[in-house]
Amino acid sequence: MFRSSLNSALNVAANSLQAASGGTAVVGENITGANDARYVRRSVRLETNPLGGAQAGGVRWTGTARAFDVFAFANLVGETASRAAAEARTGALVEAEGALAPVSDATLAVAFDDFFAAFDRLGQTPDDPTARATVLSSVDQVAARFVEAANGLNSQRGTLFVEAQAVAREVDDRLAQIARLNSRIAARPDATSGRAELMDQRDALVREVADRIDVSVLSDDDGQVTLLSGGTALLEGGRAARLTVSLDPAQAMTVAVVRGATTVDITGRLSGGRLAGLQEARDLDVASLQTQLDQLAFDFADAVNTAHQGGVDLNGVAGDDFFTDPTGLPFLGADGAAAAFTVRPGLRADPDAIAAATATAPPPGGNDTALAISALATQGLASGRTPGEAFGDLAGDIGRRRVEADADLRLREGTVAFALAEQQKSSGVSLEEELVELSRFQRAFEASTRVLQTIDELMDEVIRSIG
Amino acid sequence: MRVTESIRLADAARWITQTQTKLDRLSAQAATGRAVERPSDGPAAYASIVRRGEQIARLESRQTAMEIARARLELSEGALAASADVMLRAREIATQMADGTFGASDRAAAAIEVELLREEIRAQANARGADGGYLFAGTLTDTEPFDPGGGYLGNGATARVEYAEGQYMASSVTGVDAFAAPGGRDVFADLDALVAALQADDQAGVRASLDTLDAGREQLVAARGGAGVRLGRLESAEGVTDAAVALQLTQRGREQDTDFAAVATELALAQGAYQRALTVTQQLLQLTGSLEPF
Repeated sequence: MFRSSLNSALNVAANSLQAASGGTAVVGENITGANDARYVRRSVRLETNPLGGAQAGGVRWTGTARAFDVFAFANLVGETASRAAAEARTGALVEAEGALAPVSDATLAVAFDDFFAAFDRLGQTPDDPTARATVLSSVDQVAARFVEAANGLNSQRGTLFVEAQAVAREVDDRLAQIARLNSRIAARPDATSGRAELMDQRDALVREVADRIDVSVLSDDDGQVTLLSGGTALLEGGRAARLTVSLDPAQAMTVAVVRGATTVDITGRLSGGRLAGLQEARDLDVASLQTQLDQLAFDFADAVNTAHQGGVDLNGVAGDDFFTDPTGLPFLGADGAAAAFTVRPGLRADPDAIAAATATAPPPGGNDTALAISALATQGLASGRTPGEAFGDLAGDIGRRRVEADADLRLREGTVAFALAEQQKSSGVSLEEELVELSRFQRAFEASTRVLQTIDELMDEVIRSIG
Repeated sequence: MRVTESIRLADAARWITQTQTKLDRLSAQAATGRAVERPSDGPAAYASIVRRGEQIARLESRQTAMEIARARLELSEGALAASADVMLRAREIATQMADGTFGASDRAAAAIEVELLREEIRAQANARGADGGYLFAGTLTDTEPFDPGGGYLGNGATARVEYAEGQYMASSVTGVDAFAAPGGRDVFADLDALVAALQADDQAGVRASLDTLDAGREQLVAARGGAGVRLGRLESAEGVTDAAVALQLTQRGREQDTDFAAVATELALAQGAYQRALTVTQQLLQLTGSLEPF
């Protein structure tokens, strides 16, 4: 019985030594991962040995536990997706703002001012070649500003589409990696550091996916995750779907999930991630700005053309269109008017064809048409707004969108920081805590060693007394 | 609450970014002197600044147009005044020659002088503006309005100038109203009649020309008066426009320009906040470093 107790005590000490050693290793892992937000804190899983029979109590190390809070992680994933969407939209709007209202004098507003000033000048010196040259120069500026702004927005829409396609490829890449990790996790024994490390890698990738497209995360009993986006599975166990980004006939961006032969359009259900931000910026914000810019270009061209057609040029000929599309034809509608905004071919070569006079107050001194065109600066276009007001409203619109997006981004940065803090509360590493743990396991190790020494001395004594 | 290393470092990074962003914004405002440079700096303010810019440009452009019109009207007024003076001299000659004490040779000599006066008036009637256009040709400014016979080759139309929002006035005097029959008297025909009477030693004819010369002169004076009235209205409008431009510039400045006192204060506060964020971050990193042995 006594011999048996010493053996039991020896086992208790050995288990304790193993537990302390394992604990020290886990603390080491935690300290190494302390500065990595993706790392989830581990703890030693210890079990108490029951007393009685052949058992002499004590604890034994049964594995490594991962301090993972599924709810905090889900919240972090959701907030990450929202922040990414806001960030992508803000970035796009910064560029759109630069295209429409650059911080320089090269704006439509300044071009309009110069245009009307040139016609005012022409009104007072209608047969002056310099005044006519000034009008043509100002007209070129208006056309250039419309085309630059339109091209800037068009180019941006193209860039956003290409960027969205690249993001989709990044999602595909990460889904494939997660699928592989899912399979490896399922194959790994529970409560091991190796499995925990794989889960860390997998969850970091899940956050990277959420940064690109909003996902819901469902965990299986075997440790694998399923990812859903817009109610459609992106990933189930070891099988990953593929994302496609394409353009519909109306040139709007569509995002679809492809699983084998099945394609599910999730564009309307995107609610987060860079893809959502890029899609909103491209097809709502920038598209709306393009529509407004086109309408302004069309209204402006129409008003100037109408006034000019009522005039008579220096040669006594009735005025023709002032602004046309590049083929010399008048605009039939607002769609695409800004990008196609052109001074009528031939007008530049014949400044005398600028109609400043009217049939009742004929050239070269008649100026009623020049005055009628310059009066558009105050009388307004078809929209009822002056060109400057229309541009101001357009610029105000992009400004409001940016302010709103900036505010949303600041909010999301705050909520992500909060979600990260919540997740870190349960899953993060505190060096102070690890210091205490390390000390505890060190003491436990020392104590276990001492127990072993004592038992060894006792057994030695027993052996010697037996002789 | 558990505070982990990641939270500490993430918070520190966020503080630095936030203060840096604010510092950048304020520095840009202080450097450029503009509180609103792009629409997102203040959407409503930017739209208002654009509208004010449009109004300012419009007012300044109107000012330029009024200056040009004023110069033209001043030249026209001068030409009409000179013409009226010449008409007065012609009337003085007619008054003298209507007297029976002068003989045929005197009247013949006077006829030559009146012919010269007529040419002087025609030269005034064919005067050109600074841009080279004929002042009294209506809108046919490249056509000499009065031929040697005194026939009018211009038209009755006038160029206009906007002197207030939607308000226009003629910026030229038509020669046909000032010098020709549609205005009441054909000045050149009346002078021609005087010359003919003088050459014919027709004392009664010379006497009869006094009334027509008076009427012609009054017509020129009236035309000059009309130009003067418009000049006065232009000067008044220019004053109003100057005041409107100044007001709009002031208002735009309030919306657009930086309040330097406020920005300087905010900048100092932001610099302090940035320094503190850096110090706190440094301390956090030192704290982490102090645990390195573990």
